[in-house]
Amino acid sequence: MDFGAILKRSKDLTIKNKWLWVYGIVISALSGSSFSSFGNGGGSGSKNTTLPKFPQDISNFTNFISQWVATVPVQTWIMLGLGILLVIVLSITVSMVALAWAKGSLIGGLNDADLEKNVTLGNTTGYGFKSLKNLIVFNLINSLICMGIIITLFTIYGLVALVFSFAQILMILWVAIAGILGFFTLVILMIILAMVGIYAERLIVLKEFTPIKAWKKALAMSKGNFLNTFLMGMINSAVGCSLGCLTSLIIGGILAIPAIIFAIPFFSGDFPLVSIIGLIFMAMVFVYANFIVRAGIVVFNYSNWNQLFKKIYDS
Amino acid sequence: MTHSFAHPLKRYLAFILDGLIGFLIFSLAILAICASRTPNELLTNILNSLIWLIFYWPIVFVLFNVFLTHRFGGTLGQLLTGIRIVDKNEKYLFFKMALFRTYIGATVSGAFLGLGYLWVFWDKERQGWHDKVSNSFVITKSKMGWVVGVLTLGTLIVFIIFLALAFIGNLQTIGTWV
Repeated sequence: MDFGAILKRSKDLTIKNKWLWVYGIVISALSGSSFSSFGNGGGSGSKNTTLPKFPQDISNFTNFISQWVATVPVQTWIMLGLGILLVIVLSITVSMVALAWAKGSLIGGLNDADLEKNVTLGNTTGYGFKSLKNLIVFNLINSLICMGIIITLFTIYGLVALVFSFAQILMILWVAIAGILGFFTLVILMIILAMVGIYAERLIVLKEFTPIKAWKKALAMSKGNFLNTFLMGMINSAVGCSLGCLTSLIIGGILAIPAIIFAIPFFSGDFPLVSIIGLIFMAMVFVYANFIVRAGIVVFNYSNWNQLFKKIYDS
Repeated sequence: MTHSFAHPLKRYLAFILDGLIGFLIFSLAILAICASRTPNELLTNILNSLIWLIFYWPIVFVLFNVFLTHRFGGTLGQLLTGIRIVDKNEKYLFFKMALFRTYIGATVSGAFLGLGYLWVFWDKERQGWHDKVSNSFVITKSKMGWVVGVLTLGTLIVFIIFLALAFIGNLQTIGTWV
């Protein structure tokens, strides 16, 4: 497998098609959170017309608050609980949909770019819409399989340990050997599942497979090309890490001098507003510059996977 | 397109109007808090208002705007300023697309310092990133949009000032409890 040609082509596609970085930005953003005694007058009873002074009368204040909590209707607490649940569910749903759409659009867009077509947000967003449902269903299936594997391994591990509990030496041997073997088995299975995820996404977006067929075909592709896929993953990680570290060093180096100038007043005990704002601004520039680089790395990685997928699928 | 693309400043005026309309509801909640007669009632009103304003109102307000966009072509602010959100055939968006544009499109446009929203200033079709990903366009339907928009803005500001004065008056009552 000519990884050099893949990397070169991906570099060209990433640099030439800046609109695809928008999907990279979205993927980067979404992938990576007294009762005190009833004593003196101030804090007891609901007929109070004044609030207890805080913090001068802390015990009466906490007494007041705890009495107030008891008077709040149950419906209010239910509404609060439902509200929190609603916000959590909505946030997870929006993130899932946005991530699946961005991945589908990026995969389709990179495919078009590789075929020398003009690529914009408008003409690539359709790939995300078309494969949205299948990508979400596939992710759910893959997550369930992942959870199932973890639960099964831990259950077997625990049950056998329980069976061997009558013989301490056997149990120690099982815990040690099975623990090590189990750990490596889990790591390999997780790597295979990750590979399945990569190929299945492309099968769904580019070849319009259904989620279950995509999972099966992706498993076959992962097993048949394990070494090439593993190497591509290592290369992607290495490139991502190196570029990320290099960017951080360069940007950090450029921003260091203005940051030091802003920080000078702090050494003499002053905290002028201008310095605080300046340092916050420098921090934001650092974070967002790294964010942009991460978006580019995401596009680059996805392009690498696209090309590897095409070579394997066509062969 | 038979209509011209809406000027970015008109879109921002519509956005400000939507924000002020949303803020009005927030102000009414503050007034309810300030109308409390006892400390217990004050704390209960604060809790209820926080629950509605933080958890329910944003979702209701956004879904209401999505419905308006699908049915009438824009949010209240956009309707007042005479602009409409349409697809390439100048038809109003389907509900799913309006929902996508509002939630996912906003995520895309806001993901990097709001650059997607600022994009309207130099895009030749006056599209932000949320417009591009939903294949929507914002057009001018009414030439009176500026006049109506500015008048509405002025009215809302005056109304909010009156509300703020009422709030300050009620705050003095609460101050006597402390």
